[in-house]
Amino acid sequence: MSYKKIILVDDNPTTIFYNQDVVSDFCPGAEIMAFENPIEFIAAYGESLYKEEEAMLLLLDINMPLKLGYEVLEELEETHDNLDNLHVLMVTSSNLRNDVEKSSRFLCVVGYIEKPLTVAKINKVLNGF
Amino acid sequence: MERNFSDRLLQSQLKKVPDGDIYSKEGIDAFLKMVNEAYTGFEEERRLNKHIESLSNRELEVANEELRNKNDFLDSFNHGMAHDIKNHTSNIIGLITMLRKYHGRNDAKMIGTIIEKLDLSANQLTAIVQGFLYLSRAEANIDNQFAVINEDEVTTAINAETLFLTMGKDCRINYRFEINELFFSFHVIKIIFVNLISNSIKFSKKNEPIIIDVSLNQTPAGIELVVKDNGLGMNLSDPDNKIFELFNRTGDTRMVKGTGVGLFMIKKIVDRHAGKVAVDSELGKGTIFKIEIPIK
Repeated sequence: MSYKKIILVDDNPTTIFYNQDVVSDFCPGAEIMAFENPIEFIAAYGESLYKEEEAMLLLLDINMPLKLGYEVLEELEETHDNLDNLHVLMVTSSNLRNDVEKSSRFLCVVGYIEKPLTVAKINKVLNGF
Repeated sequence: MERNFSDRLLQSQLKKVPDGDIYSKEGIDAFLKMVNEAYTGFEEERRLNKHIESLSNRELEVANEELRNKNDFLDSFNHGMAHDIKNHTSNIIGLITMLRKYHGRNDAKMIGTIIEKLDLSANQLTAIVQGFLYLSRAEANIDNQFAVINEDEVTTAINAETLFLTMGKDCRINYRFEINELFFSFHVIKIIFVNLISNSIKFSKKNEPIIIDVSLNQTPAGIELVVKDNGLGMNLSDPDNKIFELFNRTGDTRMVKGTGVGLFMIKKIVDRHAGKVAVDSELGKGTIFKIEIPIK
């Protein structure tokens, strides 16, 4: 599975810095967009990203002070017919079971990754190896 | 000896690291040990509480209720802290992986950037664990060790503990101490000042010099600690403003990184010393905290 556009949403700038490096190894040449503020990501999706025809990979942090990961998805669901162009990987730091329960109902969620992110973990979830 | 919660937690995390990922090295060992020690104190208290809770004596009902509340508090505290700590340890582990990669490529510029980020993460983690230890001490009543303390000691400690927040910022802390020497708990004075000043820095305006006035004054009944800043300020009449609650980070403050423990801890400590916390603030103008502590 390869992507032309990868979006990172995480409130911690150090995590963004590190995750950027990991996803650029996972998909060399892909365009990477990073948001520290989930609300800005929601706005960017509503403005233009929803029009993207090719599927994008979204790495979504679950525990953010401003908005929880699944709250972001809820909001996107309410304002868009479908989120077919988003393949979402929920990235969590703790309490995986609880997080899975709360976000498994979203069709766009393709998997869960426990921090720290690695290329091997992404491959395992997306490609099964 | 029964293995405690933190041991199990850390072991389970270690097992989850796939082959090829980096662990070990003295640095990581050292902070895992620190985290472990911090947890041990809480677990011990929890264990005792659980034991007392199980006694079925009517006279213990009221006490039990209190203990149950305390257990709930510890649960939410453990969860909040564990989450925060895990975030930083993940970052550190990730950054070390990056360091290996760019070291192999002899990319000195990138290595420099990574080391700066490692430094920041390690300091943030230390601050969290420090707060954790303070709080456990507050619970354990150890902050009653009095000694002669002087202004230099206090300001040196404050500057050292807030350095990672002030670094690279235009920040001026003005100290004005009416009292040069005092027989009181150094620990208490330091925690209160460090936490209030940290808040002033965290909730400061961007692109404006940060000015913080810190004073320690004599009052008829005891002492008064004052921290005044020119930061973002807050709306105190907002019913959602519950700044002294644990992990309460509502409204605009949710954009600022922090654990939500600082003011809760201050309130707890000040209460135990029969003191008073007063706060005045205006949105966009700044905040002033005044803490009065009677001294016998």
